[in-house]
Amino acid sequence: MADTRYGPPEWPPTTSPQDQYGRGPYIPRQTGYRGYPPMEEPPAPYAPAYPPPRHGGAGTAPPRSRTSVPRHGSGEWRTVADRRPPEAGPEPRRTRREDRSPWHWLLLVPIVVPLVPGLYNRIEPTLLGVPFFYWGQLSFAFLASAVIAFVHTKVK
Amino acid sequence: VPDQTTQITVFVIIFGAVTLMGFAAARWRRPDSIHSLEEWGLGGRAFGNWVTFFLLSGDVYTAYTFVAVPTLVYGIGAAGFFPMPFLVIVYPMLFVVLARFWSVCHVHGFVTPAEFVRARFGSRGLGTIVAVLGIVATMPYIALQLIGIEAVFEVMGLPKGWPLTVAFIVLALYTFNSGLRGPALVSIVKDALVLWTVLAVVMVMSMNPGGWEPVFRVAQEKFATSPRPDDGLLLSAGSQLNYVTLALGSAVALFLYPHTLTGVLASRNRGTLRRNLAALPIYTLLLGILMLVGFAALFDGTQAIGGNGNTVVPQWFNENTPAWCAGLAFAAIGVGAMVPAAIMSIAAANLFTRDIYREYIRPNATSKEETYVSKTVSLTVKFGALLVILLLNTQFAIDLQLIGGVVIMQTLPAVALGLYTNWFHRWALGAGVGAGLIVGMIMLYQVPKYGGADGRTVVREHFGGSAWPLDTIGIDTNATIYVGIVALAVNLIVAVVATPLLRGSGVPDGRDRTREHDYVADEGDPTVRRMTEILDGDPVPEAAPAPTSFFTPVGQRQPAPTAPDDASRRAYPRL
Repeated sequence: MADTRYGPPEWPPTTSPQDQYGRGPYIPRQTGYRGYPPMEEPPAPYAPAYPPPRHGGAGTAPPRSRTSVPRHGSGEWRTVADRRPPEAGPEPRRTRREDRSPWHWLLLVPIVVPLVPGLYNRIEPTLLGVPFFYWGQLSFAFLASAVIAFVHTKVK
Repeated sequence: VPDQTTQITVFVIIFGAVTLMGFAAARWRRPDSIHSLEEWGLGGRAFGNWVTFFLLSGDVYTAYTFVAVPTLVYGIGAAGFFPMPFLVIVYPMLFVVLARFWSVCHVHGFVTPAEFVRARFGSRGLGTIVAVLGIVATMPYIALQLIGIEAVFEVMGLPKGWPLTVAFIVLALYTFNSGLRGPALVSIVKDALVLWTVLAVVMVMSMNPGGWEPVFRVAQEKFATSPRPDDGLLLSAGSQLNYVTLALGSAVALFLYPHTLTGVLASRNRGTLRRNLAALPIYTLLLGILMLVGFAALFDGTQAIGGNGNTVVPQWFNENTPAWCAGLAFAAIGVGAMVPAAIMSIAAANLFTRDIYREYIRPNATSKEETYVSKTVSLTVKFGALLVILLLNTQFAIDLQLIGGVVIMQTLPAVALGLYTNWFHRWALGAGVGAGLIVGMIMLYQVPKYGGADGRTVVREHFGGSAWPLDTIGIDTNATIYVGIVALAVNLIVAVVATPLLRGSGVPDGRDRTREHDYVADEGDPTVRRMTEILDGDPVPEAAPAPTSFFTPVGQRQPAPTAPDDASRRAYPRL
């Protein structure tokens, strides 16, 4: 502890400290100031809420307008608070997968069809003398290949 | 009398060429140093479309498949045809999961599925379980490859001991030297030989008067006269359930076998992988045609040599094709055994190194040391397989492989479902694996081995196969079911039920060290960092030394010992 107290000033950190999650220091986004891109959604200017909320309407603070926010809260300067590690809340349990695609359901066709013996457990029609049981299952290879290639082009 | 000198000459020439290629592969796309597990064990993770195709096909379609499956068709007909649906349905299944597996392993620098499980569920024990099950399941599979070569040697009239030993010493040495590059290069030769073999089958059969039609007529008569109830040109009502569950279970197991995943991780990017999965079903077609050789052997009256059923296919080539062509077919089987055996031993060695040696024995092992350990273990594993075949009997290896398939399937919830969700509790997954293994072993124990002319005489009481008769539990039917599927179902049920229970009782969850974006990262993504380093050969930029503080006279003089710099460790503190 003594080391750090008499040590060099700690900002900016000499090495990027990493927390247990492998993340660097929390640096807030710089928005809406001197050429930085504006925030995605500018907060609405102060306006009384109509109809007023039923409970606690009188006592609640009005929505903060941008001009009333302290400058250091806008992300313009780094503050001591920025050096606090971000709160490690639980990860959201269900996140939408980035590679999700409805086309993947098409892959069920070449999975299910070869698993239903009722479809191909027969001799007729024969092809070059080979019973359907054999050449039908050989042709499922083309089916799988075609479906996979199709899905690949669709989800690429 | 077949000309065995020509056969042996052709075989030896091809085998010699393959050996040279295997050693030369170490210089192929030569990295600065092969002394890293990603270079030796994954070929630098830089294989493109064609090499990945050859590697994966060499990996999946093993010599044992080429030899044993037509023998099964020769023996029982339609029920032996299950590899066809199995190797068709496996690719759509893999298409969904493999790309995610590739991405997360590249972002984090994983070499084995067990490392992924460890990071995903935050459990070292679970990772170790997956690693041990992987090694246990892979080792008998290596021994099976030897059975394939052995059958070929038997047909060529070679003695049992030394040719096999020589072949495996050669294999072991070039794997030691070149790592995954060896089998990758050799698999090109293997696929060319297999393609030729299939063409030979097609040509021989098309020269047959009447084509395939008399072949199947003879087979039908033979099955009709045989006293066995479970053979025939079509599936009997009792064998349909086993046919379907066996195909499904084999497909699941194939994804989970460590050697498949090793081949997958060696590909360059997600697109390479997915394109290959679209092409690989066509290779299944080749296997399907080879399976029909079983019927051709029935038609031509081929008899197994010395009661060894695996010699039926080589013997058919021996009797029905010119000697040079038979030599090429034998070489296809021989080389086809080399490629998967090399990849399997590399996969087992990587599992040992990354998940046992580096976890428990020497956590600070350098990447050079890791590579050395992996090389040594791959040698050990191969010689262990050789000893099993030479000293114990062949049947022992086949039984072990049967158990291995059931064993490896139990890692499905952790590895495959883990790619999609971290909902499962780590202890629940462990309990599920335990339950699945116990159920699987009990069921395998209950299956007797049948033999004799009518196929109903009990030859051996226990561990006689994987088709579990449903009347064991009193269901009045002659249907059977694949043991692995039942064990996997038990495993899944236990894992699903135990997870909320454990969470409710406050057993802490493991911490998931992966993020959702890791599962879709591709070659150009900033989180996948090592691809450009490999492809362009740029040296890894060294980190600037940490500035010394002159204001802290007290404190540690020596910096605390840290783990050596290694790509897989560096992956965590990333952007």
